[in-house]
Amino acid sequence: MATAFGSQLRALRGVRRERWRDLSPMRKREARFGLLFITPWIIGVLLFNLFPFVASFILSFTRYNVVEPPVWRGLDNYSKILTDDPLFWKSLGNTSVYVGGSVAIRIVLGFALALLLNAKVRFLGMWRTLFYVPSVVPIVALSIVWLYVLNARAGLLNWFLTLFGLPRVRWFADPDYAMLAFLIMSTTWVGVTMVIFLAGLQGIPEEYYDAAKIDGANWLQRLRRVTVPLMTPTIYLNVLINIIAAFQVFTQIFIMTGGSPRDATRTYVLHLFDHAFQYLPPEMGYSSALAWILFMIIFVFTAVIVVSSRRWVFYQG
Amino acid sequence: MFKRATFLLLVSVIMLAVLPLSMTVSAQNPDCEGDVTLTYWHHWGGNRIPLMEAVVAAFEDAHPGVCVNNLFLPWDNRLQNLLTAIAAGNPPDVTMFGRQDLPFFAATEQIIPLDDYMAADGITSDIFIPAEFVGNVYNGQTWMLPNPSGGALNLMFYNTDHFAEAGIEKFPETWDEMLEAAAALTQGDGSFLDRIGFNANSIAGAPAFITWLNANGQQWISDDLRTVTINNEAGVQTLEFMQGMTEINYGIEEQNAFWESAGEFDQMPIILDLVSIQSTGSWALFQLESHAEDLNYEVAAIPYGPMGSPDRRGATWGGWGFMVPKNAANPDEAWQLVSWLTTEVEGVGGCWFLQQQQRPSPIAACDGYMKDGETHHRAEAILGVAALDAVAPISPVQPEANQIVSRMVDDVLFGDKSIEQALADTEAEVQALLDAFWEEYG
Repeated sequence: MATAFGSQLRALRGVRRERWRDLSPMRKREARFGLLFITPWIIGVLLFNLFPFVASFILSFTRYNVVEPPVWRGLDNYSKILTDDPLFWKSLGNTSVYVGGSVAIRIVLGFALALLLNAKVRFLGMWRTLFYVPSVVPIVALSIVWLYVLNARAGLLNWFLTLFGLPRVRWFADPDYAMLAFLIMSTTWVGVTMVIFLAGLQGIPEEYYDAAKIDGANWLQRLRRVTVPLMTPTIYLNVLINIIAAFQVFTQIFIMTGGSPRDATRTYVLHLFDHAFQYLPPEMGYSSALAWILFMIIFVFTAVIVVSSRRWVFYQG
Repeated sequence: MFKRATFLLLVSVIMLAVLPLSMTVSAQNPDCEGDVTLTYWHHWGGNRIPLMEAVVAAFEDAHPGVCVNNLFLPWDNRLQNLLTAIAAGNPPDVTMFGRQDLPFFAATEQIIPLDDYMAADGITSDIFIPAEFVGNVYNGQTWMLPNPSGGALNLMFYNTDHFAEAGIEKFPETWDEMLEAAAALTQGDGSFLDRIGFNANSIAGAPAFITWLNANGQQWISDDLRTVTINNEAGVQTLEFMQGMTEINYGIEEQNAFWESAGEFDQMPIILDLVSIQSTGSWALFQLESHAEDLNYEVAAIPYGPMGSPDRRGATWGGWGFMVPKNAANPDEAWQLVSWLTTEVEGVGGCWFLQQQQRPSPIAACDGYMKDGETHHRAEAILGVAALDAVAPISPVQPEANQIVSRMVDDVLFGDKSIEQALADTEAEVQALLDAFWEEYG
């Protein structure tokens, strides 16, 4: 079995690089057009990604209020974040809970839905669309809908709970439940994960299942021994995508609670946003330092997953 | 083939360039001819858009040669937009501006002082109601002019039918009376609210604690904006009052859960019959009269605390106005527009704009409640309450200070800290924030 990185590197090594002068006139013309069409994207990346990326790193060592030139502060911002900002730790803790919970929900639920919708059932297209559509609804509209669903007095979810004799929950007023409410809301985007899993499932050759059936494997054994191992590259991709996205959770929390109650839903990016755009004077240097710490956290998580993938991700062939 | 590729590229670039223009609503009079075009940002949305267009058109008529590109921008992210424009060296000529945001912009001189312009045009501060004007001054200079009124924020709209049912004859004057009335008006089964008598955490304008502290005779910060003054007997009494009111509403969690369902603005709690007394501002008059024709209500002043006085009730806090950013392309003409938007009483200007909405004006000579020759029947009551408002100073670090103060109230209401500890911690935290500001900008 090859690892993810191993197979990617081998694939790259297989590409023979050609010198410009060795290219035929036709290939040169194609290359020029290729470059021409990719130019807007390259300019976009340089201007809107690379430049802010580098600038924010430099600004993270300054006091910068936007309207005056930055003032060099060395490691002050980082020192203050780590030693004198209780909301940093609070927001990091909240974000960790969200990352752990929402990634688990999306992976498990997405995989389960993909398995169901990979079966030959009637109205398959309709079911797939139904589960995917919420993912493309604008997040502001979704937030409003979820505010109604999770409303403590008249919300759909509380009505459902009372059908089973359960007490109603003050979702956004009780610090013990507020983050759980956002984890429930995170099921909205399970459709994206589901579609990627579906694509992976459809890439598994039927022959493997046929062979397993001949060997007497039941449904659960086929799932454990054939489906899951062959789906590990897709699981790996989904875990990475979802972890990176979950660490940056912001919009729905900004709209729905603003971090309340008792800062129970104050996430890392909300904390960063407040320092940059809500407080006066604006603290762009401090926010940049917060952003770089988040970048490092995500980087470490990603690196751990990539390195560990050698042990648990399997590729066919 | 190359021509087609070039064409596609050009189309892409043009589409990308045009995209940002679709994010705002811009109105420019096509008939206006002039050498100067002012860029004007405001946040008067909804049914105020045509009113503002009329004001701008009248300005253009009165100032030949000056045209206005009138841009309505959403209120959210207003500071983000303004700061970005200033940093990019391309600010609007005139912008609507929150008085609560003034100290930082003035301290860093990102806006133009208006004193010289005012002197040249013979405009003096005494044309404004004093409490409205004071929030436009920083370090002895005038940086913006007010419109609309920031006063009359702490009006208590109360349902007179509820009062009659509960046998309450007059609106409470003191906190003790208020607690008694709220207990009589609140309805529920002991854990689940059906109606709130009064929510002391929901106050128009300043953060609730600062308003109640003000009504207890204590300013939250010194006049020079350098010393926080909340850790005292008045502060203790204020938090005790808020705690008592929350207990009447079955605790903070139920109160908040109820309130999040109780609606806002056009469908505010008093309209939905979910609250008996609601604190809101003079702007609510329009909502009440448009959406609650059958509601029997009256207007009263906020009750005062044990250390307060009947003459000092709510807090005049913030309010809006108009200013000219540094690096504005046409500062002289920009001043003319600011003046039109804030001091014009005769023409279709600042006074007319408020009269159409029937809102109080910060200009003494303008009766905002006078429309089509008639004064609104509630004008006297509202202006009477506004006269009892005291100015609550706004610090240069107000947005973060507000969060810290709100966190303090939660600490107490959720039972995580004693009142004394919460006050001491918060005073120290906000003081440290202020000290850091003055060290950098003082």
